Amino acid sequence: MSTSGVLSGGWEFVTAAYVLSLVVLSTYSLSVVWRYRVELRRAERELRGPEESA
Amino acid sequence: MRQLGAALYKEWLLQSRALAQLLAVLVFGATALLLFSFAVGPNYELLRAVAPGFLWLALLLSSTLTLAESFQAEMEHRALEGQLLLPASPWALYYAKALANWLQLTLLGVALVPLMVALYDARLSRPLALLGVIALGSAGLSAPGTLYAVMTHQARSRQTLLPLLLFPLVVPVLIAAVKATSLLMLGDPMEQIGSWALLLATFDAIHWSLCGLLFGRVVEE
Amino acid sequence: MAPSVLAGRPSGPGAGYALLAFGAVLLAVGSYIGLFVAPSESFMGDVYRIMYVHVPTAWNALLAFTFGFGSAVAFLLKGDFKWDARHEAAVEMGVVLAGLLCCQGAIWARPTWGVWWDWDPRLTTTAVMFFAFIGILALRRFVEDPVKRATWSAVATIIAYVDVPIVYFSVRWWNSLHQMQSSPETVSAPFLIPLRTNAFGILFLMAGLITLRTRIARLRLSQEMAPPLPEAAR
Repeated sequence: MSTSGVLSGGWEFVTAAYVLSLVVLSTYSLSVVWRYRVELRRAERELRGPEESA
Repeated sequence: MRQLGAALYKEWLLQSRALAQLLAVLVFGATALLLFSFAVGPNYELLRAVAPGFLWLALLLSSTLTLAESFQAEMEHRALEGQLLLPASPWALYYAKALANWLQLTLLGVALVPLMVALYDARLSRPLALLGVIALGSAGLSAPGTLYAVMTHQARSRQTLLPLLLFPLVVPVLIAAVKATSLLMLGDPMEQIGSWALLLATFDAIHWSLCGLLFGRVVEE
Repeated sequence: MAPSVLAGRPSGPGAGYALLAFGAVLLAVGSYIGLFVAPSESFMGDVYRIMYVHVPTAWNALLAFTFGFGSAVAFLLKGDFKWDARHEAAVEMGVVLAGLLCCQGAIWARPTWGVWWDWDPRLTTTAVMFFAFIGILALRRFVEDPVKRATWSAVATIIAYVDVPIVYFSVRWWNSLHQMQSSPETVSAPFLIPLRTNAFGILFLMAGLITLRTRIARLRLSQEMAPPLPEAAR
């Protein structure tokens, strides 16, 4: 730390925090979107299933 | 109240038959205390400082054994459904169970104190106050613990699920009980023990009422 | 007697995606301003910029758990499984944000205090909440009967949420003997614009994610609780 009492630098920590937040939020978002589409496809298949065999 | 008495009598009968299990939990707690001391080594000053923490950790770990077994008798013979079919309120069942667990844990805590004094060179200046802290802390563990024991007993992986649910919840009990115990054993110059005891009592009051209230929903079919 | 969990038109997927996209844009804008436009702070230098993501994450994590608590209460009172779906979504979102919050807090603490964890009451309470609600997600995973799962996890969420202020006060009193470290929330920002922008950014992002995640839960529930098909239709 510099003698003026002000923190100098530390950009690597700022970058780390922002990159981590970006990675976590986008990974979770993609996982939710992907799981949603999987469930939709499965539900549609089930709706079509009994109708096709009727 | 009569229902509570009947339920408590049932608990008393169960406890008498499960004496072996009680002793096993005591041995577990004692072993834990011993093993924890090895983590610190023969440094008396350090041992005295960490003794309260390790006592409560040993008690917390032992509580998972006690609580997990507490509904064993009912579950094995499907007696739980039978009891609920009777015109007995689930509250009587819950409070009897929670009281039984509380008693077991308090006795366990008291039994571990001599071992703690011996192993950790702990000073025991106010034994009655210590008993009070052990009682308050055990109450804090048994109220939510009994509720979670019912939930997890039927679920898969119940041995990991009960501590997983209980431990984060009882952090205030751990903090307050350890703090109060260490004030009792290491000196309390600023008379802080009152506020920690109050925190424990508040936690107990909230959870003994809330968990009792919610128990009905947990066991209904 | 399985109620149709999809009855009562939920907001369509379009709404979820729109909220998600809008939130992402706000977050990008707010972060850009916070990183490159806002001036340096008087004592913290540039490290304070972490606060522009950390504080919004904190607000939204608490909001997610509060919404989860409300959904749990609503489910127990009304028995409508759409509240169980919302409950599941909110708790999952809260766990993600709480975990992120703890990591951000550690990244903040290292350059300012020299340690990775300084037992700040707010952050410590968040860590406890993280573990408590992960336990509830585990409970949901291990209980197979949907009615029991919904009821038990709702009860567990109520107990865990009521515990949060108790945990906070106990940690605060426990830590009060030590010097009270300043957490990012107590640092005053020279610019409030990126803070508010990011706060709304994460809010919309979270709303979109909870909406979509709720739909996932509802789809799964209707499959679980659907009555078996009569033989003639096979």
